[in-house]
Amino acid sequence: MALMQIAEPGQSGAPHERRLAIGIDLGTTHSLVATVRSAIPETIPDAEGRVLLPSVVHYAADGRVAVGYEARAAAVEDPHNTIASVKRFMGRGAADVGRLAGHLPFEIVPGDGMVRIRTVAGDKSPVEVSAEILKVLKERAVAALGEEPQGAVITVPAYFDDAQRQATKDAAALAGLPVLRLLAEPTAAAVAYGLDKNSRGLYAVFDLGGGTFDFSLLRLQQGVFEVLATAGDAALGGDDMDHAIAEHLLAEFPDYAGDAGFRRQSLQLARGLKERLSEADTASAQLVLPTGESRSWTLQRRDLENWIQPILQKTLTPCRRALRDAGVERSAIDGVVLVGGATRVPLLQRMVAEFFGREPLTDIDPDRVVALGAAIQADALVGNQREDLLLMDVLPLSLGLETMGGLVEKIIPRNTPIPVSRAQEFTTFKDGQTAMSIHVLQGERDRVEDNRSLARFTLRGIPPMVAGQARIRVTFQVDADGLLAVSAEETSTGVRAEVQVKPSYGLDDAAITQMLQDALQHAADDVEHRRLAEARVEGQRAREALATAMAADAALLSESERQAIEAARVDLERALAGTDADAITAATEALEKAAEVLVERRMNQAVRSAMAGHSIDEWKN
Amino acid sequence: MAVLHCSQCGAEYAPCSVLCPACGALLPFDPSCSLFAVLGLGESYDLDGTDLRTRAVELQRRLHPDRFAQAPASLQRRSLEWSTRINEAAAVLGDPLRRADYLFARRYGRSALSEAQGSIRDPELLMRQMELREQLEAISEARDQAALDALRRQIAEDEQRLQQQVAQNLAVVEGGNEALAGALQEWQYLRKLRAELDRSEESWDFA
Repeated sequence: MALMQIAEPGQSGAPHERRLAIGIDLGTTHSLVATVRSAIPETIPDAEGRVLLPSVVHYAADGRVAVGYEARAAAVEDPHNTIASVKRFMGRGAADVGRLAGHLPFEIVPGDGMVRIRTVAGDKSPVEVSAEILKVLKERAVAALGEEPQGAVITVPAYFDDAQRQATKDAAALAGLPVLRLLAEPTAAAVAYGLDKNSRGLYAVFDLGGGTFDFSLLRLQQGVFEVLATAGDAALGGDDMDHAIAEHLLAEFPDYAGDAGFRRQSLQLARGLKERLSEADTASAQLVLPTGESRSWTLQRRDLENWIQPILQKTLTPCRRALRDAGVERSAIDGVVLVGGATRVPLLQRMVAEFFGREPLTDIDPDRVVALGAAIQADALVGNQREDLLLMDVLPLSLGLETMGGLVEKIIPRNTPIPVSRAQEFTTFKDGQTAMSIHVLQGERDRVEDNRSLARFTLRGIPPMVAGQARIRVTFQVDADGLLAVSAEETSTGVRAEVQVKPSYGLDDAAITQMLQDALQHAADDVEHRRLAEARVEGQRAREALATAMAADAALLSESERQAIEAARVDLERALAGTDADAITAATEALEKAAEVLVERRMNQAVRSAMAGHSIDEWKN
Repeated sequence: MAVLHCSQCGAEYAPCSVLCPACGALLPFDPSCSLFAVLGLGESYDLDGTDLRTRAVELQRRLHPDRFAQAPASLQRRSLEWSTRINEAAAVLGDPLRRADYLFARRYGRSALSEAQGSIRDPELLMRQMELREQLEAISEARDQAALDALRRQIAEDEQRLQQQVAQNLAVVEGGNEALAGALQEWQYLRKLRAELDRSEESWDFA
């Protein structure tokens, strides 16, 4: 009897061949890549020996894209086209980032769905920007390892919702990187610590990154890492401390507070000051004003701590919530692990120690620990030993459905172990109803508008029946990456309803394909597109201005003048209908020239009417 | 009963087995198996929580999707289905209320909890629920931590009492299902009240 060939987990065709896999920490301020070589996890440096890659992307007018230190250097010169902290925009809509708008040196394009960022090389989705960072990390790994990795584990904040996770996966697809698993950052950190020390017991991971805060409680036992509860704040991080410091700095130089380059410089100086004040009690920064003058600004640690204390205080609420969800007392915790560069701040370490009643662990470099943990899991996932390692994670935020009156009914509560599946039955409320809309939400609040909209579905093809007869079973499946899939079936007839998914913030496959194609096209196309858009705006503005002037004062013109203006207007209309930026600009200029006579006469008329009834003497001084 | 054979090694295996007893291969997913069966447990209300968790973790160690990251799609699917099912078994059977309702559903063909949503038939129970709810509202308004802790203890005692009652009821093979359903519904209301109590306390944290 021929038996089916099914590969056993952990066994490859050639058992002794090692497979390469990488772990990536895609951070708000820095990103890293790590791998396991000779059973030891290590971070991979760039050609200059630097491990951290600043998560900054610069787009130049000629279509060149710079990532990392080079991009950060461009930030002061060209802040509008330099994108930092893009992680904060992943899977986010315009309404979500409103809070940040005042701080941002670059421009957010208004619109529905995920935000886009305006650059000289075209409008960029956060997914595309993140893909640029991933590409650089992948190239770095290929250069160091000498071959393509089989796949990557990419870490995400535990508290990332479905849209944010999906956006991260999309970015990897765009960068041509196969994703083995999305892994929660605190879990990754626990893996790095746990395997080093062979620990067992209850561990708390306190992860304050550049832009996100995560807190997780894990039970460690014989290589099994079981997440008991997680909580956090997806918009709280070290960046907030930098902004608080920068605001105080800008307040000292109010004349330049509106200058985007100066704001960016302030932010970089603020970060440096925060870092140096982790070691010293006093630190000074040298700044260059937009006028070219140099100034010095000195900061005491005491002042810094007063400013950042309210920000750090916010981290304790999620800690309490996770402890309560897990039913764990603070005193039962065997160890507290600190992760993320922002946890180097001494005030934070004191706060954490006080809250948990024990000194936190900081043996592993908090900047690297997440990438190292990701590399260990990646190594296990491609089947290189470590068969004792297993990570069991939870759903960070409740999943629910919109019900009557704009309220949310929870289908899967937060902190449920994943993978998980739940089915919910619905029925029709009208005779002969064949379609039904379903709105999926994620979050903890009661009202629809206070939660994140994940997707809207329309179930079609329900067999026509009397109201209330149909039994529509909708199944929600959350996989090991924490990503949701939905299927539906009419159970009395067995008809599978067609599910149309409209991700509220994610990108569908068509959008991804389009982006891939766009990326392959010559970057000059983007520049051309931008020139055209600008020419159109100018042309339309000239046309509207003319229409207003003509409506009010056409009588000021002779018949031949009016005909000349009309001819120029028709030319401009024709140019605007086309796609030639130069033609539009030329027609706009021609119209403005033809209309000069009208502008001049309107001006004279306005002056005369303003002076009417006044003697000339009144106008002399 | 049809005899089942592992497609990998040909060994015979019992229905509702998850892994082949001979070669350890992940066997085809069978959605008809009970939550007790997938963990290799007999169907009983009385069970050891630690043993339950150990069984679930040991199975996950072998069948979790992470073990099949490089496997063919069909096997990945199988792993996802089993892993989901084991998580469900651990969650449902690990919770005394959900475990009781699961046994109720196995016995009487319907859940005692899902159909009770929003309606309490027993007037005495209804009155008691309303009293407790008013108590909670007063505590929330006054932000009285001591009173909240007292109410939480009282709810815990009531839950304890209901659990004993339910256990006795389920131990009898031919029990009256009305009394059991009523006890389960009351228990669920206490759970909801406890959740509201936690939320109320949590909102104090934010203030």
